Amino acid sequence: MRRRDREHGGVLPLLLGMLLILAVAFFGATTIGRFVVARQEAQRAADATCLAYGTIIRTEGMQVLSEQQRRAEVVGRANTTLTVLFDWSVPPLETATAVELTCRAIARVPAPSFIWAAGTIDAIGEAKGRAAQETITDAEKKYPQLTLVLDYSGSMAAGMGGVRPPSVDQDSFHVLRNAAMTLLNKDYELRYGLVIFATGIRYTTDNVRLGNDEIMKEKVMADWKCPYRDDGGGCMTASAAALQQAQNLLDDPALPSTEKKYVIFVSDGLPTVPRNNPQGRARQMAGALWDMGVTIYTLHVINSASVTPLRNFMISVSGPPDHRGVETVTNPDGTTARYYFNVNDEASMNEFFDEIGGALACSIGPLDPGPAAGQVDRMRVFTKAQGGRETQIMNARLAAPPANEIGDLWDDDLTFRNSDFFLYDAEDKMLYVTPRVCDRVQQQHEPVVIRFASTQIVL
Amino acid sequence: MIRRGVLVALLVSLVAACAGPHLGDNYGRRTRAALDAQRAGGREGGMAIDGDDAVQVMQQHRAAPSAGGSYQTGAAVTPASGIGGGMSSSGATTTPITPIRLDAVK
Repeated sequence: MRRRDREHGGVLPLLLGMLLILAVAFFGATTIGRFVVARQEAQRAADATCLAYGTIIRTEGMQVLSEQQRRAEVVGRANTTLTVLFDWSVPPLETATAVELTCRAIARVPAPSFIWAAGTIDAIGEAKGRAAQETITDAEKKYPQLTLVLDYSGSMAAGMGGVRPPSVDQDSFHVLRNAAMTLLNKDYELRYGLVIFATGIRYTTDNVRLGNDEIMKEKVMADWKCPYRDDGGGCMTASAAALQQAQNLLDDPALPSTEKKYVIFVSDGLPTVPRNNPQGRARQMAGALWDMGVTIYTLHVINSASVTPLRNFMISVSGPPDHRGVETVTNPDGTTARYYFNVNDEASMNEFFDEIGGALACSIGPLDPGPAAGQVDRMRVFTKAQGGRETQIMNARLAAPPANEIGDLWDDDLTFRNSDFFLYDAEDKMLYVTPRVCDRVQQQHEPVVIRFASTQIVL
Repeated sequence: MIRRGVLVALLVSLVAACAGPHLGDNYGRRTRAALDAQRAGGREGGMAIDGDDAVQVMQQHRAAPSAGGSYQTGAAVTPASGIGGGMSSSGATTTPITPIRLDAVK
């Protein structure tokens, strides 16, 4: 009986202890289960936030990060049923080729305070996003290469349109010189060359290069005997020799091969030198120019009754390399490009030279690897200032109206020039930008950042 | 008698006054023609100059149409009425002056 008395009531503590263990196990298991679920939710929120953040950076560039992070958080929260907090203590890590984003979402799980003193457990989901980019620090200006070929033969002493000039200062020769000076005085940044011819080459620049316009201003106005005095051959018209000299100048290996080459050939008479087939020789030289990619504009100075033969000849040496011997070419966009011009008075001569415009280009690249065909329109380009703030460069191809040619970016008559625009040439994987952007890269050493790939979650 | 003498003197003066400039003009033209003919002759490698050469050069100075070559000066072509598709008296349509833009890249 005694033994029994001792044993009486001894089960109760044991039972309580077991109940306690069961309670702890129950609450613990429940909390752990909730924690596991919260952890998954937090990870989903972190992943979604990182993808959204990467998209925001790709489309807008790196602006006020906290504001961009808030917007990414909205996307993250939309992807979970739990209340989550975000930790942005790890800033974006940027290299030349990528931006690495660390996104941390925290879901607070209520927990029994007799087990977890804080009364909550943090379920943390962490994601790392990688947004690929390309960074280019150099920009290169490109210039049109232009050789002016001017006829100073004896017939240029005639009046424009074939009428007797009121004074010698108003004959074709003087009108041409003055009009050419109008072009040169514009001080365009062109790689200039000059050939003045009569019976032979009366003057030629040594080369085609930037800054030649200064010496050309002097030489255009200089006395080369013709058209008024004999140059030893009678101030004839050696068109073939002049075009050949233009070819020599433009064939200089020192000239950048990616730049466009032009000849503006001005004459008022059919070729007379050399004696043997002068027109054929001139056409042969035009062919040589086309073969090396030169576009030839011709200006027929009408100062005699005989117009058609010279017109036919001038058209035969006019045109771009892919449309040889043409007066005009219809562009794919329906516009017409003219390569043969004629003028018969001072006003039209001046207008011809006044209407010549130079459109430089500023190239950045090539991109490596560059966007795939489907990524071109989603490509975003930025310049990065010293503090890391990025300025977006707009795609001129998507503007309204869009830019169709690289030259449009620098064209004074179009809207792009004074804003931040780029055009992408998929063929050579080069970016071309407007003058303002070019200056920021070249003078303020702001790198250009290009983003086109989607952000990928890497962890 | 005196009257007749005065009249003759006046007539002679009038003729002389009128003839002077014309002679001068012709003298200038002829001189220029001769020089040009010499120059043209020079081009021919020393060929003798004949009357046709002088006539040809004179025609050029008188703004007469001539055959092709670099000496088609002075032909009487009425200037086309401005630009933009006007017709010259020679029948050639003047071309519109459309702006040329020299692009830097291909």
